[in-house]
Amino acid sequence: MEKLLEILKSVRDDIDFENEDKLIDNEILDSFDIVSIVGELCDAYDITITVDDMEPENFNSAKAILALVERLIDEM
Amino acid sequence: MPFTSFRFFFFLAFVIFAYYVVPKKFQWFVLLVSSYAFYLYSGVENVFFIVATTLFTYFSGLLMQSMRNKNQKKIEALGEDLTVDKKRELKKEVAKKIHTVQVITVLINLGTLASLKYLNLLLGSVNDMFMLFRWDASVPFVNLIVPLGLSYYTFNSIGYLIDIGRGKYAAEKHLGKFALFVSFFPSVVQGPLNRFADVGIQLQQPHKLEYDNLKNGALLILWGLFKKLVIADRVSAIASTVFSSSFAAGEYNGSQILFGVIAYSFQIYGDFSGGTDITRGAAQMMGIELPLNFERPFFSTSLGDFWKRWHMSLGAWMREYVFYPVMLCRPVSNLSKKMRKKHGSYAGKMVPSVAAPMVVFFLIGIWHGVTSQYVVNGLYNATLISASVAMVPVYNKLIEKLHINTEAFSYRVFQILRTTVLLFISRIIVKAPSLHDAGLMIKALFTSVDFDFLLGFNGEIYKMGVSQKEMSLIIFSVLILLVVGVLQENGMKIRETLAKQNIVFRWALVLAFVAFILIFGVYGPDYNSSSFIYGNF
Amino acid sequence: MTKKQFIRSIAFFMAVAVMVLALCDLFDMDNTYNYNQRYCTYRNFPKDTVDAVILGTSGVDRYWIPSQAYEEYGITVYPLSTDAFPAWLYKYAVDEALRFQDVDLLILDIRPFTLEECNINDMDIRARRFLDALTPFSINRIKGCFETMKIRDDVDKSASRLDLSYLFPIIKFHGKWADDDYSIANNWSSVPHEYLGYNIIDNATVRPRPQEIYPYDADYYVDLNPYIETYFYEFLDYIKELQASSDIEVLFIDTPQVRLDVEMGISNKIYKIIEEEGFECVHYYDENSETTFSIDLDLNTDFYNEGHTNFYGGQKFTTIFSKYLIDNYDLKDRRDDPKVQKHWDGVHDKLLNKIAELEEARKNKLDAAKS
Repeated sequence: MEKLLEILKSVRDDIDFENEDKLIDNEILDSFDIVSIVGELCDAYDITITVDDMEPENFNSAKAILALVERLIDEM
Repeated sequence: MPFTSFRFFFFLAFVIFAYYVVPKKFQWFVLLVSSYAFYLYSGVENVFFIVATTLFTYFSGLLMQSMRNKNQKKIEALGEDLTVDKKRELKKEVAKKIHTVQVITVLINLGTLASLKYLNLLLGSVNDMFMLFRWDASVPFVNLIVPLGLSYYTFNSIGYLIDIGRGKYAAEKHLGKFALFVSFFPSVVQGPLNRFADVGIQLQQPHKLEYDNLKNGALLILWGLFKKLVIADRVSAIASTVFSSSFAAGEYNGSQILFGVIAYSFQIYGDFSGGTDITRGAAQMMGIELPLNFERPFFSTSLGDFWKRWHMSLGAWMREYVFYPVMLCRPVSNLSKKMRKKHGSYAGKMVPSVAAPMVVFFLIGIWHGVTSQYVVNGLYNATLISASVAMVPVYNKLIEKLHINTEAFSYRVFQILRTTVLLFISRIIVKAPSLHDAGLMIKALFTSVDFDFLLGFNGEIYKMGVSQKEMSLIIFSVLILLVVGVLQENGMKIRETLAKQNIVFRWALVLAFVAFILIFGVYGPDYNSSSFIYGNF
Repeated sequence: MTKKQFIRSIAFFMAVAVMVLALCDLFDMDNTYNYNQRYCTYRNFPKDTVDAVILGTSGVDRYWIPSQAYEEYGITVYPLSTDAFPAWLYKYAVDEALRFQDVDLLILDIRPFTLEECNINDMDIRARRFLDALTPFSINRIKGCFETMKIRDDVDKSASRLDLSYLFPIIKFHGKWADDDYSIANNWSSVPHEYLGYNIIDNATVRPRPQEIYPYDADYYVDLNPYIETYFYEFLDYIKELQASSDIEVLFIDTPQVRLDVEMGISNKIYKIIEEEGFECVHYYDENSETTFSIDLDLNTDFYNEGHTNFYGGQKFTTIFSKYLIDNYDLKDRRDDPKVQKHWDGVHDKLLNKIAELEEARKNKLDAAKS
């Protein structure tokens, strides 16, 4: 989680990723933020995030993002 | 059947009555029948196209679903004998096949849309090319009609096909219920664009008669009528005067252009959002919630913000079905990775951030029309949005260096004004009689100011299509819009707040509002209410 | 939905309906010649104070001066007319008149039947002048609206069959708010008529405009417009039924005007038909008279245009016609009835003062022009 939080903060340092759980629903992250995050995640974890993974549930909280990352790592 | 006609309201009243009177399991059927009745009213020939698209999409969805089901059965049949790798392989194989079907069916739908809308234009261009090469051949024009709501129901269908392709949900087995999703009459004319998982499901469910739904839906319709009949249809006279090909014949007065573009902005806002309010209000009266399409776009702080507040359902559709796929597709993400490795994360981010908006706004531009003006407008928006992403680090540095307080109200006002100016340029590009004129108009806008005109001192302002009395009415109405907008921007839910007031106040306010629309609305035999601007898309 | 909510909704819709009807009063057909006031005053007369009504076109209210006849003979004969009254609504005008007063004598102007051509816009205006002078709840108004839609559809298929703007004039006239001279006072219909229905048109009423007239040929006949003819016969049948079921008396009248030969021909035809149907029609044309009129009307001083007498011609006409009524019909002298006195006493003096004022103004204008 620590590594993930670092990555997230590098994209948007003004968001409280530890506690926020409606990042998409409340439009706290916009499309460009998400693309940046996806880019960073792909780099950091060497995974490929596809369009099918672009569900709001997967990005609504740091926890959800971590779950997505772990699932993609697992499926590799 | 125009949304602001008496016919439509009688029709709607009848439909709502029937909807709540029939047994709940037939409610969806009432909607289907009324949607087709509404559609037939626009011309019997039109129905052929929507039925064709409905059937084609329905069967394509079932096809993809059956491919997925068969594969699932296969996997289950093999049971324990299947290794994880083999399972993944099978899944990938069928995913590829399904993806192929998805792409083909989407392209067919898209192709139908493009041909019906643009075939004659294309043929004209082909003929122009023949002339260019001095070939004696020419392609004849085809007499095609553009069916009502073509772009909207096609995009809804494409969204459905892509969702099925991605396996988001099972394909709809009931043809009637699917046909209802494609043809639902309040939103088939000019949106909002609907998702099957949301609106499609809502349409099938039974809805109990809720007093609040009826009341709030009716109030929303009233608000929409205000925006369309009192504001939009009135300022349209100004916009058509200023942007007509004979106006000022090239000798543009910047302040008149400014006046015209402000009028045009209110016209398309009032027309489109007013129509959407009537649509959403009508649906709400039947307990169905359609997605928002407008959220106070005049308060946008950037172009990007604007596209999240204007025609929101189109933006959301583009985001889900074009923007992310383009951003994350293999060629783009590979290129992005390469750039990141070579030149750092900023460069890596730039590739998708430029490619995706370009595609999206090019498409949005074409959605509106294929003349050079629409294409240029699309590119204009795309360039500005990509540029704004590229400029983020530069802006941040500037803000730091100049100690600008970005939370301040004045900064917000600055952002809004800046965005407004950018939008004015966009409107002029689209509405001017030609690209050349657009250029001249934009130049004039920034170079000539005529305060005598703007402040009404020389009376010229009352010759642009509206009289002095009408100008006062317009200003008053815009103030109402502004006040409501500010209240909403600060979080007030108008209809909820209204419901909490005393009954005398509520009734007086609503009655006064109804009287206001009846007296000052542009409707009735002596007026030529302009047809909805977005209705042909 | 609870019962309370349901009742509230109904109550709200009723409030909206009331408001719409009130707005229809403020935004309806142009009231330039006081149609609203003429009808409103009539509706508000106490019961049993009006003994006769004259229905029809401006050929009634520019000629008949009710206050003069009242001053001279005490008879209460009220003009219920609207300019260019539409022939197809005559029946409803009669019904409307009989709604409020137990009238002994119906006097019917024949000018509506002399319409030569049915043109949609013209018909629309004629009908609305009458319809918008009635109250929104009058069944005659509602029936009249549908009748007008029907005849418009007969005459011109391209006119829309159902035109809600007849029933709810605000639909057509709400744009009036933008007119420079729009005011609520001008459009509110519950205002009494100052001169018991006699129409004063500021400069015209005292203006003499010399006229030239065709000689009268009593044997020249021209056919009526086919649509109007149908309505004419229907109306005559209706009048016969009316006479059969009550003891009301009926008299047709054609007030003297300067007209083209076609109109003369149509009028002759109308006189003939009326006679054939067993009614009486009074007109003032004489083949043997030098002035064409059988009464002492002066073509140089008594008309303000071809179609209408001014005040002086009106005075002459009223003297002669009221005598005719006294001689031939049993109209009572109502001057001792306090209910009648309340509305009819003193009006003639007021009228004469007004005429004097207008004369003064006219003289001043002419003097100013000369100097």
